[in-house]
Amino acid sequence: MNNMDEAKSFIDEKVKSNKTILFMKGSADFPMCGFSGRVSQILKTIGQEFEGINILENDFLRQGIKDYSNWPTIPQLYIKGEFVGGCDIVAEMAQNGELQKLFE
Amino acid sequence: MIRLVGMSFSVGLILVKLVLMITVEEIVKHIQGHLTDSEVYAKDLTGTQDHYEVFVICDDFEAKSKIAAHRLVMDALKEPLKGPLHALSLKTFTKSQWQEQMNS
Repeated sequence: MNNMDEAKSFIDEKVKSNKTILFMKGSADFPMCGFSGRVSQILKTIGQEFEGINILENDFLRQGIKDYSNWPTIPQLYIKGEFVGGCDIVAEMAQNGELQKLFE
Repeated sequence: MIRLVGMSFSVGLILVKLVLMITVEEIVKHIQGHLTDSEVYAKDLTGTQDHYEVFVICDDFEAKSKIAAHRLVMDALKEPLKGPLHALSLKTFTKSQWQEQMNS
């Protein structure tokens, strides 16, 4: 990825792939930030497979994902093409069962 | 002259403050400026006036998804999030959800 346009099409393709996508700092196995780690832990705990995308690997991606969602922070979880939220929202939705419903 | 020096000194102070920190009162003011009928609780998590936990209770969140409710608050905090506010843990409730929370 060498520019914002490429970053945007990469993000768009991933999001619309209908899989569960987590844009995060680090990888699912080696998160580089507590918030990213917490969200991937939650997904693992409820047994949901997901693809973690490390935004630290590319500066266009890092800024691009914030522009894409118009949301200032990372991690960002997308389920079935929809932006669900970051750590606070995902944790709360997992606790009250709303998150699990999104996968049904 | 003295007045000028005094003025630039206070402008300097304000700048330092804008860049480095934000108080609980300012956070509440920002949020209530956008969500006029809201109850806001903000807690400085680290004692450094840049990491906050914020609870917002407002019926504007009624029938909105979590992410939509959070967006309303994030919009209100757009300016401080660009500068002094580094990390924000956010919880949103409607008045009845808050009542439930208090009773549980």
